[in-house]
Amino acid sequence: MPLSTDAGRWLRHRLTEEGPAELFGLMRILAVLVTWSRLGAAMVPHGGMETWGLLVSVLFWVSTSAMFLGLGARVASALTAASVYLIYVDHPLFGDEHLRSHHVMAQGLVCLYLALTPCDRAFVLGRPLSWSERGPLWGLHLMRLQLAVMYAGATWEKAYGGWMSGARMEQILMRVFTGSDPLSLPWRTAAFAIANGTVLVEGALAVAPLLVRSDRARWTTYAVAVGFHGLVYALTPVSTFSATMAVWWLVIVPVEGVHQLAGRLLPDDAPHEEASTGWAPFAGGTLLLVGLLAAGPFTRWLPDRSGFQHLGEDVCVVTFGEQVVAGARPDVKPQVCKAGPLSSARCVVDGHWEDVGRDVVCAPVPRGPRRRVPAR
Amino acid sequence: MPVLRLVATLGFVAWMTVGPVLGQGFGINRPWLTAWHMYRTWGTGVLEVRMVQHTPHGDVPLDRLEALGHDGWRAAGPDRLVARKDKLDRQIARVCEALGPGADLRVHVREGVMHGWKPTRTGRKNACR
Repeated sequence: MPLSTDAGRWLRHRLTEEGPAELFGLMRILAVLVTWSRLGAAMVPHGGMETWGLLVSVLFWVSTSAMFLGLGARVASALTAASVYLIYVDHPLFGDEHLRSHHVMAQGLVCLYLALTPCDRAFVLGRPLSWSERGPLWGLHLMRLQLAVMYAGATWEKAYGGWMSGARMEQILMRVFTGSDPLSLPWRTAAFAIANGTVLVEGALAVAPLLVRSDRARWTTYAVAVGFHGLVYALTPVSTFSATMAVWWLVIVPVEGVHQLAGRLLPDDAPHEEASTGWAPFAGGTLLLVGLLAAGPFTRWLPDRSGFQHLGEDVCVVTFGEQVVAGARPDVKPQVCKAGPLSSARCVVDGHWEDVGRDVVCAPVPRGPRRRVPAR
Repeated sequence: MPVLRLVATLGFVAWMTVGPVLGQGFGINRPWLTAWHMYRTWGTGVLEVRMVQHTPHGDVPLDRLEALGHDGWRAAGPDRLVARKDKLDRQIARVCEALGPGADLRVHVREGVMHGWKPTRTGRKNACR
């Protein structure tokens, strides 16, 4: 493309533009915290892991730790992205089919794109907290584009009759909240409104990363995006995806604003310009949200929702003759499966107690840290 | 113009857009491509169950959870949601037992599918017989 054209000059500017690095240092640390929260439990090495699983686990812990501390942060970010991708692809090794999810892919992508930013030039172990340098911003522009593509894809995914009529949202509400009784008119109306509102919000969020310019527009977009994902978190079992997106959305925050805020919060001998207004809510709100979501106990404050009942997924109560055995299925199985016919058996399947047969109780227990009762 | 960054940018842009186009547009999903299947099938398979007691004086709507012996929606626990046919059959058997001999129970069921709701039982026959 000839550099004399406007498009050529615009492209050259995007590829060579430089800016301060505090935002990327902050995103790097937050991305690691969310990654540990989502994948850490599955990646704890244990005796049942196969050799390849152990290698992936070691890569995961070494790369995320280096990324967190800022040691070779760009390489560490790329290696973290690689380890998350391996977890995504080889999820059977870690005993959890939920690892093969676009939620995990989104986390890996944050780390991948951070490797293209100057995330190693701020908040690094061995340097003063106030130290930072400037670096290229082309990775930031790629992250904004990827964010737009994600929301465009999410909007496209819902643009069909079953969703827009509200029927799919009715099914989700019944699955999570109400059960199998027919929904009343207010519930059906709410389902219609939520379904179409979701498409509108996601469609708007698909163009926002590329269009917002002013501080006010950026603040509003960030509030809408984080509020939307907070609502999704509160209503459906999306695990840490909301926290992942709260980190992702930091890409619309102006890097100069974060630099000024860091200068005000982390003073050194050099004088700093007055921080622009409105940045404290960004940083404080993000830290608070990510902390709450990553902490886990947040879910206990919410009303009963079957979708969150992952704990106890293995538990069974089995009766044979006059004996009753209760406990995790791998523990119950050896006691009851050689004892002849079972009088009754109940196990937790997908968060619910279900009457199950001998075939379920006595099915082989998959290897891995999280062993689920197989669906019948 | 930094050529390496330009090539890398074009590569990333192609990769991030090809994935959704192939995965969501043509159903070609690969682990090394991204596709954003948010809430694609979640909730499908749910059964919407409506029970009606057929009497000589007309049809009387039946509270399924009450007929199953539960004191209110919250106390119904796992009986609230039915997503499998065998569980539905067990619930119908329990309701018939609770109603006693000679009951005429009509069960209307719709299954949640991608395009909306698919009727699977229309209540034309007595489910207790």
